[in-house]
Amino acid sequence: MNQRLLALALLLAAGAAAAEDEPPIPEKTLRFTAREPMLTVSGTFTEAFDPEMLEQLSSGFTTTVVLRMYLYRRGSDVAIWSSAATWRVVYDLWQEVYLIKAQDYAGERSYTAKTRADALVRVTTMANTPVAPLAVIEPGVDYFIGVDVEVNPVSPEVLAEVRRWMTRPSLGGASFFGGFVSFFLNPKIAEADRRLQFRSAPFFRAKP
Amino acid sequence: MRALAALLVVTTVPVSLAAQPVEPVQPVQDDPTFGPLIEIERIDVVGASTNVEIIRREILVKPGDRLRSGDPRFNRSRFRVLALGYFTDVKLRQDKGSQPGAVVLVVEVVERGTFTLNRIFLGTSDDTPIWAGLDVGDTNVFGSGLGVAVGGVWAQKSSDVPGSRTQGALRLRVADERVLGSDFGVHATALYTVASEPLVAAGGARSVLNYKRAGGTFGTTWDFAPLMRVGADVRLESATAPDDAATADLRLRPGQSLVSTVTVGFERDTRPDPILPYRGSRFAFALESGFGDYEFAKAVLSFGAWRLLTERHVLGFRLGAGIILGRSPRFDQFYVGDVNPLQPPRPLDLAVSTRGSFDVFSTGADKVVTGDVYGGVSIEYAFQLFRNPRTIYGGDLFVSVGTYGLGSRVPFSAPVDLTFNVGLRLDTFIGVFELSLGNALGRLPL
Repeated sequence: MNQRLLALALLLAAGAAAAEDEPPIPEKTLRFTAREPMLTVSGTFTEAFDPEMLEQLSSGFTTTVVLRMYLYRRGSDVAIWSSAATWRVVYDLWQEVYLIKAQDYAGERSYTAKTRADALVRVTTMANTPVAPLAVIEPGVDYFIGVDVEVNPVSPEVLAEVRRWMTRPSLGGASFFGGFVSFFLNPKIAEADRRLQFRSAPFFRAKP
Repeated sequence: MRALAALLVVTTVPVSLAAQPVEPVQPVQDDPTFGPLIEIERIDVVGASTNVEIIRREILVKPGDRLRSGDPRFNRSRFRVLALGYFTDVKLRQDKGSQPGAVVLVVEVVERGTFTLNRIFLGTSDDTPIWAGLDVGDTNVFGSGLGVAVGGVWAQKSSDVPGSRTQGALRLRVADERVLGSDFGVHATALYTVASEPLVAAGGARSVLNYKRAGGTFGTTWDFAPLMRVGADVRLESATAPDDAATADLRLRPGQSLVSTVTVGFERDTRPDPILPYRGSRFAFALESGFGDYEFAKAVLSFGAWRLLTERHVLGFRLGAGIILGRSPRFDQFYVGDVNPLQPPRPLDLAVSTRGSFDVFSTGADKVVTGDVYGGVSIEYAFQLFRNPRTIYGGDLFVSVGTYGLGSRVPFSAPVDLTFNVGLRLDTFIGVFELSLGNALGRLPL
């Protein structure tokens, strides 16, 4: 009995050890600009698309890119401001043009792109994208931003619905009186087609 | 790095300078006004050897429809096809149709194996030297969309108890969760059980109750709202017990008797991830009424809610209660292994142990194995170890503690006991694995 419990403890420890292997969030070169009344950021993240997703850009259906930015004071783990930007792109088969809509703190804008490469650049480029009001950034203090990019994120409601279909209670053996099945066919619907996270290098606002 | 650990759980809306955790990230909705106006000329399915009608009926648009290419129905159609569980990937694309504005909707699927290992039964107890079994199935038999599963358990007889015999249980299940692509499902189960249930008398004397069960259930479900379902089941089975008046006290009629019941149920489940839940709730209620030889009513209610406290830290709360009015057959009673994760389970309804609870509060809970009433509450803390898009999707370390009461309704007596569990829960592409203290203790003699 004790040996069995020891084996269980070792398995749990192995799981905990696996968690320590998560790669660190990479740092990316970004350019910050003070454009009253906002701090803005510029940079690109084309690596959010792999070749397969790039192919999907021409599928005729919408690809959505959601970018969320979180402003931190260096050394703190509490975000002091957050902002978001969304890009949607769709290929018009008959006009042979990519239609793009961008939304962020500054409002909504529409673009067109003639090539897939141009469309990719448009939806993976932060071009003076608002980060936070300058008023919340104290001069002389170090800050950094964390960026979370999702391509085609799925809403929690849709995830819940699809996962419920997949658990197939009638066949899996569970019922209204039953418990959860232990093993079953378990395809996963990801929360997004792709997720990319990176952070900026520390920056500060010069004292006036 | 520690600072970035809080990245994913702050609000997307600008917040105050004293921004504190943690509001859920707001979901991004599809935009039905975005994209060119198109007309669906036809729908082609590529890559499927399964019946393509099963795929077509999950598509929420049809030839002749005029809509924007950003319409949410396209995305939902893709998920509906994926949710069939027959494909590893589903992609939608448009090809030009025969005239400007017309498109051919191409549904491209990549098939997967649909054989499933539903459960493995294995354990040993003081009353049963070993029990073992499997539950296997196919969720898409011959590409028909019909699911079939077979389960069997064998339990070795106890050599210490006179009259004990080998136990066995078989189950055959057939289900069509979406009849002709509708929100209605049907399912049926056939069962055959040879039981030799271990018993312990008040003085500690051990004996067995031998009986057989044969019959089945037939039921239907209706997903009447995206996250809600109702269902109804009819059960008919024959129970054969010894021609001994004493069995009446054991909740089985002597000789042959008929168990006939009707069950109705309701379930609402808003958890985005029911395997490793981190938000949402689940509420389920079921009422079963027995007629004829066993007149009884059984009601079961369960509720659970989960919340992400901060990045990776999840708190869960569970509540459960049940009551049986009248005299149900003994195998329908609540069992300690059903409500206490530290006790042996009932593999395919076979009782393989007479072990009671640990009786932490010295209330006499160790003497109670079955009952007509129970109630329990527990809280669980989980730490999200990792999340992964492929193979091993995620793992949570969890620890739970709770209390429950199980016992008789008349006279009312439900000794309360403490229960707890700790372990690792893994969500993988072949299913869910739980390596826990409860799993270990429930499958080993103590």
